[in-house]
Amino acid sequence: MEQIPILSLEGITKEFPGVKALDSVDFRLLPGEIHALVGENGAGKSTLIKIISGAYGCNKGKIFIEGKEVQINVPQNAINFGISTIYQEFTLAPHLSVAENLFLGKELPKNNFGKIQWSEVYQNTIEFLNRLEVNDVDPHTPVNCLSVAQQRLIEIAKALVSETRILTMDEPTTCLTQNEINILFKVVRILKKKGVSIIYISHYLDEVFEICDSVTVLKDGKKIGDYQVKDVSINDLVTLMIGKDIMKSHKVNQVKKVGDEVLRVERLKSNKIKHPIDLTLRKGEILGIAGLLGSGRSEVLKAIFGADLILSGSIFVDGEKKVIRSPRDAILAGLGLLTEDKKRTGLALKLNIKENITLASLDLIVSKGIINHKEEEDKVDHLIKWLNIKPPIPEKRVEFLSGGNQQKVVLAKWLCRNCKILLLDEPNKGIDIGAKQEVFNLVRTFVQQGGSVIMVSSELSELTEMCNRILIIKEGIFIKELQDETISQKSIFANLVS
Amino acid sequence: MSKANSQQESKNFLNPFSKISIPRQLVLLLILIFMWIIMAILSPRFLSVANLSSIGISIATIAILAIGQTFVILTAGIDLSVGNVLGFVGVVTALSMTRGLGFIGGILAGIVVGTLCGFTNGIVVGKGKIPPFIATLGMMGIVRGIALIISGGFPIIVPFEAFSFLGTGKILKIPVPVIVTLFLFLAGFYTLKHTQIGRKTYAIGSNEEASRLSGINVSWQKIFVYSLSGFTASIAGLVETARLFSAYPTAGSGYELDSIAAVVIGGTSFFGGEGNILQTFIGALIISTLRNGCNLLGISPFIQQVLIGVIIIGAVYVDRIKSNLTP
Repeated sequence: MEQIPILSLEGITKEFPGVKALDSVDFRLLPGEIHALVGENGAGKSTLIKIISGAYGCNKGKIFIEGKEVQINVPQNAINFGISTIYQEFTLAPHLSVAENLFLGKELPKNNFGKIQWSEVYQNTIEFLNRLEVNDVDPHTPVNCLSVAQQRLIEIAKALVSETRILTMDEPTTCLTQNEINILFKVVRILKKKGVSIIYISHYLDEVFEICDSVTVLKDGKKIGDYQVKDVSINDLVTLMIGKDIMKSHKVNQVKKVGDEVLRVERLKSNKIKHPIDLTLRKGEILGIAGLLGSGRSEVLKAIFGADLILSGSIFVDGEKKVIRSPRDAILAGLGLLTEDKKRTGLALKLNIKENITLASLDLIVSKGIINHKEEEDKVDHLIKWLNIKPPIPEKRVEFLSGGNQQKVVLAKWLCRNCKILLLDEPNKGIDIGAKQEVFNLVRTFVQQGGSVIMVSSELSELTEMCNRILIIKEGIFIKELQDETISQKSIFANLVS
Repeated sequence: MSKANSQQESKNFLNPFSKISIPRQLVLLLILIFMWIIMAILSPRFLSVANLSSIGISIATIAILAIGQTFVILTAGIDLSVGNVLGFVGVVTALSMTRGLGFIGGILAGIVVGTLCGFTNGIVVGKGKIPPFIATLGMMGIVRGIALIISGGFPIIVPFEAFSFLGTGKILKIPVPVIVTLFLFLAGFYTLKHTQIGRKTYAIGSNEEASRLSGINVSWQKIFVYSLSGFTASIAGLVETARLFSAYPTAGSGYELDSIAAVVIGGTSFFGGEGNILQTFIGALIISTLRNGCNLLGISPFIQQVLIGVIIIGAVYVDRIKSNLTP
């Protein structure tokens, strides 16, 4: 039987100057279903969400809610129709309490003099949280004191307060550990039982298979099709998303013979690492660091790079002792750091591709302080071609690039510097599966050409796929080292949770 | 569909730049030319050499201040002290000349002291991590106070006749302040576009942490831009003192706001990282044309203030809707 979709879009088209982000896309969301929206970066998922939530208007197309045509021009329209959106970036007020956030913009219970009845507010908060079976959050806590996962749950609870019928979630599991993801999924299932329809965007296809009922695939702004999740396999979806079978390219890092020691870290302590750390890295090696969120894995990279305040310890590069007290020192010693959050700490978004690529190598392209534009362009053109950065326009502002291309620009920045040791912190965060393979291939090429890499990742499959050696970190201490043949997702996982 | 279209059109109506992207400089230039044409029609005196010179001289000090201000705002900072540093430099120069430091010595003393004020701002902002608004607000009070103390509150007459050349002299019929202004603008333009320091100025304005992690010494870069702002304030102070042939300890009051207005009307982002010095130049010209035009037409200076206020907000509003429409 044909159910009336709670939300249906017909022929949605959205053009930005020079780009057609969406090209007559249809979309149907049935009541009480969890519907995944998948596609590579730049496929138009986020644009579609923004149209549904009223952040953008569309150029063409119709929106129906329960069969009735409606206009969604501003976010308030969407909210009135019961549509809530949880964006990748947090939208909570960090210094306000859980309760205040939950009822932000809502009518609060007051007495006759207009004084807010806070005890009642807190009671209501607990009730709403309990409905989601969230029992370990105190409504008085400021949300910036909560974990990332808890903050996400608060955002979901907030949607519940607004009597949401349609909830869109954009990459809700980013930054969450497996355990936290399970809790999130439990809450999502509770919402579903309450009759909320959910649009779920994720790069992780296994999540789609775990929690979603149906899936719509977008590619280059066009809809490829919609499917029942039970009728398709991961491989089918991947093929639909990128149009080629990428699963075959999964190979273990080929460079087996590693060379001499290029980096040795001894008793290094920063203001963010409590216990001194030691590690060594060889030429041509990819060393993985596996740890849960908050285990200090990013802090290790930042300490080596001199990005945090260094308290003690020594670093040797090619056997030579180097004093690294700032990123500048690290760069001069031949290191490069690709940070976890490229938008916040990796890129100057308002500058263009060219200016970002040469940001760390300005001293190489200037003479007496004056930029040699010809030399700069040559270097940049070469890198854009090599890394296949799209669009291949050096003057394009970086903020308009897709996540994958932004990541390539950050990589290009370090390749431009000719650094020998790359420190990669979650190199695949927020980029799609096609770009991920490209980034990995680049890292492999870098290593084959004599570079060395330390890589932090929360995805075990990435670590097993790439690394020669893996260090397990727990509460800031390396507790275990895994070598070639002992590396498997199972062995890493076992050590992480032990 | 028709409704969606009309929605789109109503947005376009509010925003004349949505369909075609015209470079900002061109838009500003067109506005300026438009103002000049209107003024030329309304007042025949407007295009006379004498009047154009007077526009040039009247804008020189503000425009020179705006050069340093552009650098500072590009780093997402602000320099509120420039107006009072200008007055302070005048007092230091005139006083040094009367106390036997001589002609050149007086000028040098002014430049050194003014640049040091900027350098101090830079240290406080760059090393001390004090917000620029607070740091330069403090400096604003400090220099005004010192200027009043050392001058005793009275104007100081410059003892060298030749000094007035800097304020009222002409080379090939062009007023010297105008030549100084043009020269500094060219230098500023070149620095921003073609030097490492210029590139770093944009970079730290766009993303300070990413710049730091790319090996840029953010503190020193800030110290540089605030020092530069102090330097341009010193030059403006010399020009102003030379023009009046005396140093008033209260000179330059409120000039910082005019310099910020020139930068903002020029479209340099208050959040840093985008904009350029040519736009600031046109922004300064728009302000001075408006002032001069109002004077010629006998419009009260009180109304001028209202007009400039409206233009500042309008300029930023146009930027806002423009950035909303880009993906």
